[in-house]
Amino acid sequence: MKSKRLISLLLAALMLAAFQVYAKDKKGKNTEEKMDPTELDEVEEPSLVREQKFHISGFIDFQFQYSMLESNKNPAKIYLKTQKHFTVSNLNLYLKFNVARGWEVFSEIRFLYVPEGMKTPWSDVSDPTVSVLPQKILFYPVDTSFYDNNVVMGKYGSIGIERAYIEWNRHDFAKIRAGHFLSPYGIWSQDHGAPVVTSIRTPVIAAAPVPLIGMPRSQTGLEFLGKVNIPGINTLFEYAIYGTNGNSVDAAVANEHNSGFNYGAFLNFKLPSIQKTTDIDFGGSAYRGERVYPFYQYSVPLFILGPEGFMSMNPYFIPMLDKYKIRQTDTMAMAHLRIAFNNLPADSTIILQGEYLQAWVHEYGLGSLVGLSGFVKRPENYLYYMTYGQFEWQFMGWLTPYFRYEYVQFTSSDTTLTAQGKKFHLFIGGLNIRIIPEVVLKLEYNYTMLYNASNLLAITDPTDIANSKIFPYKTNNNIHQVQASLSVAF
Amino acid sequence: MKNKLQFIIIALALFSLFVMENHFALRGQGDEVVPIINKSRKSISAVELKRIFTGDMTNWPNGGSIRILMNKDKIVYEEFAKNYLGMSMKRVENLWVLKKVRDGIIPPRKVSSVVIKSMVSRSSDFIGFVRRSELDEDIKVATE
Repeated sequence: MKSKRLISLLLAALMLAAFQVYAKDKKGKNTEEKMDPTELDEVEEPSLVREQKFHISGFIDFQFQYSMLESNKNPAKIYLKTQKHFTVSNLNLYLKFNVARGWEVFSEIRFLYVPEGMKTPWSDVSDPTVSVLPQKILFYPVDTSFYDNNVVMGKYGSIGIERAYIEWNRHDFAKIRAGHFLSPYGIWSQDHGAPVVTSIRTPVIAAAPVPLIGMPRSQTGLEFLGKVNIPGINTLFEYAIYGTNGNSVDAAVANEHNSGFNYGAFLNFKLPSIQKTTDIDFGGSAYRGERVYPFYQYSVPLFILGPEGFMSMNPYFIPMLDKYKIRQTDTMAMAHLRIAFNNLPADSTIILQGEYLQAWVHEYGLGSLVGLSGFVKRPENYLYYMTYGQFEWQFMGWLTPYFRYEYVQFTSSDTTLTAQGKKFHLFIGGLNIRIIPEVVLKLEYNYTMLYNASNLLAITDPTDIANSKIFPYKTNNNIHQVQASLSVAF
Repeated sequence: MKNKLQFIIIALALFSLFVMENHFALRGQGDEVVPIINKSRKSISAVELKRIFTGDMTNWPNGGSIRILMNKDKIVYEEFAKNYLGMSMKRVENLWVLKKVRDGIIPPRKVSSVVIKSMVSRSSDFIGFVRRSELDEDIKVATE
């Protein structure tokens, strides 16, 4: 009798559960049915039906940097010792306008911010060519505080046009851009926005081609690009070929006299995911360019101590004499590989990537040498090697520890001091914390070992240059840096 | 009388089992999340689908921009991301921030299943994802 009651109770419970399930299903359906179609039309759909014509977005990053020179022998240490400062490195604004179906106008404007701008350290130099062009400050991108700023800008606090083009993009396999666009090469060149770049400091390989090889970071001309699926192996083939006027963005301020034709290409193969987990990208880039520019007798990297206490690790090139012209041809070849292991435990992805660049630079001397003689020999050939390997481990969708090793070597028979030494090693380790998809906090440590570097100069007073209070010093310089940055995409 | 009562109880119990079995089967195997496109579109491969939702493919093969709609139901979104894109929803969202910063691309909007179905059935430009049980005659599964 007891067992019968128990069975009856169990059956009743089963029926109750079934009824609840049925009721829940019905409730769900009723909820959907009860949605007011008029409200739906008015509130949600019109904004979806109409394609957005005009769109503004961008990013900003704010940074703290602490630097310390290791060597006590370095004359720069007299002034610098340790340095720490805050900067707003980037404020980039994107404007996008869909002109018509398949036609788009895009621009990226960069605002470089420093309170009260920055004094030009050599404005007192007696050479009139220099003094009338104070914006000849060339800050180059082996840099930490100024994100991959390969564009030679006038001065801090100025405005730069990074991209401005019209694009026909009706089909993925063939798009055309006309205007000013980023030079496509390697993995990093297109991803220059702080919120999406893993590390604070971009690899030298991505940043250096501009000052070292003369390849402009962004160029003006025509670009043909696209993505084609290779049938059978389901591999995505991405390409870009371009021809430009050969002038870098600094052509005007650097007195670049070239009016030639530069060209280049970029290729990438994206293999289909292996076992739905492993993505592989590999490819190469090439560039050939020519430029003519005035050569400054004495160009050295230095530290700048601005009146606001700002210090830059950038090698600034000081134009001392402007009497000598160089015609330079630049040839660059590059290879890249990126492997991503997705779907690992704890929502993890491990990314391994590396790039290798080799560049051949040939300089032809033009005109006569005036002033200090015998310091620079022309013509000259340079060969540059650059490579890096990076490991990053993204887990839980928001935490990414990373490590990168870089190696750069310059070969030249020239006795001219090179900006970053004849070779250098760079070790970078850090943590990228993606607080929300649009906000990223990065903590990073860099250790740079420069071998046979040219002198790092310290200048507190612009007249130091005129008074020759500079310190030619060829040494091995090791630099420690700790940095933190907060980047926001909007 | 007693036998009749027992018969009714057993019948009701069997019916209950049927209802529950039906329900769980629907939520388990049959009611998975599926990508949907307009009936007039040709089906696409799983590789193409991944390229679309990760921003590598922005135009339909015969021209015209692809307009992606994400499902605002987090469970549906997460299931779609895992099964079709091989990554978590968070990673997909991070990826679209990258696209936005890189090329100023506007990330896809997150809307309800009802809106996704409505838009996909009206225009062949749209693609989205919903539960299989929500399919109707104006839309079809993109990969079938």
